[in-house]
Amino acid sequence: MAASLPMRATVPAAGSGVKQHASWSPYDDNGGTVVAVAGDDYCVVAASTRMSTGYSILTRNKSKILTFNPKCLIASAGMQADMETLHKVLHSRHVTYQFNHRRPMGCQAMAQLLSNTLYHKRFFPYYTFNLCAGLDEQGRGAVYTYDAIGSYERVGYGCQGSGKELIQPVLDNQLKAASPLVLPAQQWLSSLPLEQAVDLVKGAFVSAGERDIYTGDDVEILILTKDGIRTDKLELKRD
Amino acid sequence: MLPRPQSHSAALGPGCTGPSLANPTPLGLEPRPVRHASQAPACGAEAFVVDPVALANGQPRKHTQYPYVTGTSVLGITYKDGVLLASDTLGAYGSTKRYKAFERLRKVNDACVVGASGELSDFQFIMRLLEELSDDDFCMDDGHRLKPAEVHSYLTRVLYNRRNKMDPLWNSIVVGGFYAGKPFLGTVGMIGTSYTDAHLATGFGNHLARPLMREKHRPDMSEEEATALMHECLKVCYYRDKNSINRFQLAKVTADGVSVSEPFALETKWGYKLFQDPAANAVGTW
Amino acid sequence: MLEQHSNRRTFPVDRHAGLAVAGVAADGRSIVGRAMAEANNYKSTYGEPIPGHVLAERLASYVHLFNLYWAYRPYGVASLLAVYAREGPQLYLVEPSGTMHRYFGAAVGKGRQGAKNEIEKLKLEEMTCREGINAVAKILHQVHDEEKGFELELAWICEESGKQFQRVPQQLADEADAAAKAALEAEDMDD
Repeated sequence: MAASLPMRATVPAAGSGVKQHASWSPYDDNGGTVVAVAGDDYCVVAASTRMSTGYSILTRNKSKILTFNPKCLIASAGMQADMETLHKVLHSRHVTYQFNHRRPMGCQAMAQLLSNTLYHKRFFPYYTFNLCAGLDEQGRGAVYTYDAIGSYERVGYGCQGSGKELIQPVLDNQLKAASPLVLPAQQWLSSLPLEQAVDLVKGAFVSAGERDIYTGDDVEILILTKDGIRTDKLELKRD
Repeated sequence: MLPRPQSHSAALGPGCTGPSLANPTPLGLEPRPVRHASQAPACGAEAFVVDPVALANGQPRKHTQYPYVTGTSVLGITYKDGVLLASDTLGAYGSTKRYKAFERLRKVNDACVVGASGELSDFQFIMRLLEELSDDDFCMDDGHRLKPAEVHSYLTRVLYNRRNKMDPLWNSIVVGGFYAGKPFLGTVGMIGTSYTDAHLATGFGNHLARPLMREKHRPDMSEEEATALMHECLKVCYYRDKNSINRFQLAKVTADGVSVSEPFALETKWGYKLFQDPAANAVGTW
Repeated sequence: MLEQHSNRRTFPVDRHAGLAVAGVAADGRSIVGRAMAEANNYKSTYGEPIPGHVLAERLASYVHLFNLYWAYRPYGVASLLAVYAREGPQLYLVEPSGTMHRYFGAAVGKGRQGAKNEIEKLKLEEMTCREGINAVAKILHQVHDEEKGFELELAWICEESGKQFQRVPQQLADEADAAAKAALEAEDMDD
């Protein structure tokens, strides 16, 4: 620190580029994992509640899920400040949408809006990794998965965040999605009964919590069905 | 028109310099520089110009890249009927103890205090924003005051906006308050990272004091217990944090309002053997 | 039918300063807005509350401008500016013409003549703020029509209010109101 202050007689020659500081970064990774599984008539969304920076835990209880209405929500991992801002933007867009359309936004509309919102910051992206999940027009589960700059795709299940390398293979193995290359297109929704899907998600989080230091503390689980949203909580190790 | 406080531009957002759209004077009274309509944004903001600094040395304009005068950790805990915030009173210039009586805990209104670590000039700027807001509240004369959660949210937006401009306010701020019978404790980092919790600490405090808090804190602590815990945390921070001094302040927010204590010192013990002869096990040092 | 407190005539413009306006209500609010901005601006430049004479001068030059151009009409309000700063308590009268004077006691509006007469009878140097409240209430009752009701609005900046602009506590205001009425009735009886 002392060396950084302008107290020294010798000044490094211009262009020598002596770096005295780790340069400031507008980005940070606060970790966390989000998972969503779509079924024939349900959707399970889960997110860990730990928020970290580097090797420190900032808080053990920070929700990563924003529920717009009983049929549509988003879950985001990545940088918390960007996540909060993105959620604020989407929330206000949802409110104005309701004023204009006199009905809540559907999952498909929100999916496109989220993509646009992310892409609008293409050259200074929101450092967030999102899932948009809910129930579609036919009442089937819907999950959309994104990258930080807005590319998205509808899938049968998805996982984002620090634990995705650990959880995604498990979901791939257990839910056995048909390849999108197979013609005619196959049903890619999970045919698992709801309770088994919840157990699968819980199991996946327990495993991720074992190996990923950014996944831990609690998992908040939202279960969307035609009857509304049910919440569940899973306690992970707090180490 | 007399410019309204620049730091609360309605056009550009809180914490940004720029025009306000509120209540302009009749145009004719204001001598304005002639400007082509195509250059003038509809919102009334200044049109973009080439920054002279950028032309001068062929480098992009540089903003704050490191802090100069800094404050170290701020600690905060909630208890049964309020919130406690604590910090020392040092403003350090690098490792020089430059300002020894800098009050880093400040009252915002009767329900809210803030404490800041990091660049102290940036903190003074932030305090000015908050004072302007509460002066405006006073002049509105409707009895409403900023709630702690609103102050917290506001500061989050200010710090986040500034990081978006690549011109950060180099602070971690703790907001403590008491509203509607509930204590509030939240923090904001310099890139806008924000959260609330039952106990908080910035900087070194997150490593040194928070483990203690996690072990001993209960939401239903009495004021005495909470104060004792706070003293213990401060002491641990003081022992281990080189950039701190033994001169602390404690701020309390309860239903009765805000009080910021006079500076006080804590009793410390340096009489351990290894302290007395630190070179005993390291030959050749002094 | 007017809701109580919905037609205010006294306004805070900073912690230590308040404005009472008589005339066109909308012009009054506009001038209050200007005063707030001036106070705010001064504080952000110099870091201390704006002194009374500076605020009064700035307001006066502002309203004066509106006398100078054919496109604008002059302000339709006379305002009393009360400030309690480093220099102690001060009272200024700012008129639409752009004049500004400092007074020990002043009155504006329809009944100003009668009110001024009454103020002259007071011994201002010996008065406490609480006594002042009673005197002001009495004068206001005197200059208003008895049949036509009016809303008594009292605000003060004094030691008791911590040198801050404050509405006079309701109980005190009610007492002053009652005392004023009683005193006037007693005087009527004497006549």
